[in-house]
Amino acid sequence: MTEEYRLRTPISRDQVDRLHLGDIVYLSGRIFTIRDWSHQRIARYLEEDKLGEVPFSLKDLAVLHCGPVIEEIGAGQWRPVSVGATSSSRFSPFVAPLLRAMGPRLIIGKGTLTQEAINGLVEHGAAFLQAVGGCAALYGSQITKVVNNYWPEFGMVDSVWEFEVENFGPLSVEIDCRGRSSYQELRRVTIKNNLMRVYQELGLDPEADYIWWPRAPAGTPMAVDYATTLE
Amino acid sequence: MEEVCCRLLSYASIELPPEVEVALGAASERESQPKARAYFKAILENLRIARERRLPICQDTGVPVYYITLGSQLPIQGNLREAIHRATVRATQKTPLRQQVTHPLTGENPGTNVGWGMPAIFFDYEDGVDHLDITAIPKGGGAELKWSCVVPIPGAPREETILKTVVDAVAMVGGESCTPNIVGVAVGGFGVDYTEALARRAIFRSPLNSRHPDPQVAALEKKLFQAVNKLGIGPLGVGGDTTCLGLHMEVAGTHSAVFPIAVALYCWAARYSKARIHGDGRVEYITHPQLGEMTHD
Repeated sequence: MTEEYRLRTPISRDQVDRLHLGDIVYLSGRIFTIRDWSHQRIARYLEEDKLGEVPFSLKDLAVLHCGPVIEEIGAGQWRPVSVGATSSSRFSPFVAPLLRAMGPRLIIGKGTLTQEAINGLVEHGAAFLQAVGGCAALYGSQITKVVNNYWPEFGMVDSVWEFEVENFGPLSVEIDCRGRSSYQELRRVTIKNNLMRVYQELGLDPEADYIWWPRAPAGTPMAVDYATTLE
Repeated sequence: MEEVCCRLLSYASIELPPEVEVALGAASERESQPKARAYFKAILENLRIARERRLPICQDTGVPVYYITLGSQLPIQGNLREAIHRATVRATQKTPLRQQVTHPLTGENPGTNVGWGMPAIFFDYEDGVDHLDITAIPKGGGAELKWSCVVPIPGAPREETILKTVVDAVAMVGGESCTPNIVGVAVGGFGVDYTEALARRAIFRSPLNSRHPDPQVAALEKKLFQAVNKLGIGPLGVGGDTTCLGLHMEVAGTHSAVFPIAVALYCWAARYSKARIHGDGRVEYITHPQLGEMTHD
């Protein structure tokens, strides 16, 4: 049975423990946006032992994978326009470094994360919450204040925004702190069964390989295999 | 021209074409899975807030794409490309839209959505008419980037190959393209850039999910539309009854050895707006007629 939770930051390890797949969360308090460049900078600072230079703290807070549209209405004053989650899977390699460096408890994004990132969530006792992709007017309307903007040299989209939010949601628990993922479970069972049934109805052989080109995406290890073995 | 393009791009970011919204409402009504129902509820609520507060539906307001069809009888004065560039700069400021267009090697961003050959403007030409058709599309990245384009083995069974390629393309993306999607398919065309362009263009067929005039193509469309909706991917990939709002296929002649297949996707926030400018200067707003009642700003 799925539960609905209203949580307020800071989030404790106990609160994260109670979250299970499919639970719905409405979050209040502080959240920070993070995207390609800020993720990379934090990972680099961690490597270079320069975390003291990060001008904000994420300990027990929530980060949102997002490149928002924000309007500046005066010096240090902003209006949220459209604020929704961006595809999270591309940030997977940065999740464990972020958790190690900054200790957020919740990562909010779109879609899902890879196994590498899931392992990081388990290790650090954090969960991944999924926002409904594309609903930027809805989520933007739940921001009560744009508190601050860090690393503005990255521009509006890639800099870090600190928001005060009230009942920010719905967010569904996509990956819990035990490493279970709704997407993985859905794909491995439901989608697989459905796909096999569709092949059967259309008279298709799932093993059939009709494609001449591309044999492997250029820029991947599969391309190297193909180039060096022709298999 | 500038004013029309600016209105189209800005408005398209805020309100969906009515037929897309109707299709989403219908999908929400018939959804049987509770989580998917909650997601559809959020989607419809989001559309309402965007409309009421004049906000972009999605924060990824896309990279602007324009399809322009010029009538041969239309006396064109002035510079169309320049007008479209100015329209894009204005729409970016006034909506506001996210400043997306950057240099591919340096990441430099002029902040206007114009630069280095962008926005993409696809010009077409129609003999014997005295009007100009415009489709303005704030095309977001989530769905656009998850395309498939393949060249089958010469001699592969044609129908099976097409069916398997399209079903696999949708199944692989698995909702990361912000399902339910409009799926555009193209078979044939040469080179594959033509195939891809046809697939993307097929997305914008109206009415949504209408069938191709060629019965052979229409039969494939129908089969594929039903098949992808049986995958159970549902809204945003959380599992549900509707994965695809419409599926349109185009075909084109091709090199005798091959029949390239392209699959293009558009997210549920399938934003676009169309207008026709007639020879006498009259502007007909097709997807969003209310644009004709706006005052010049």
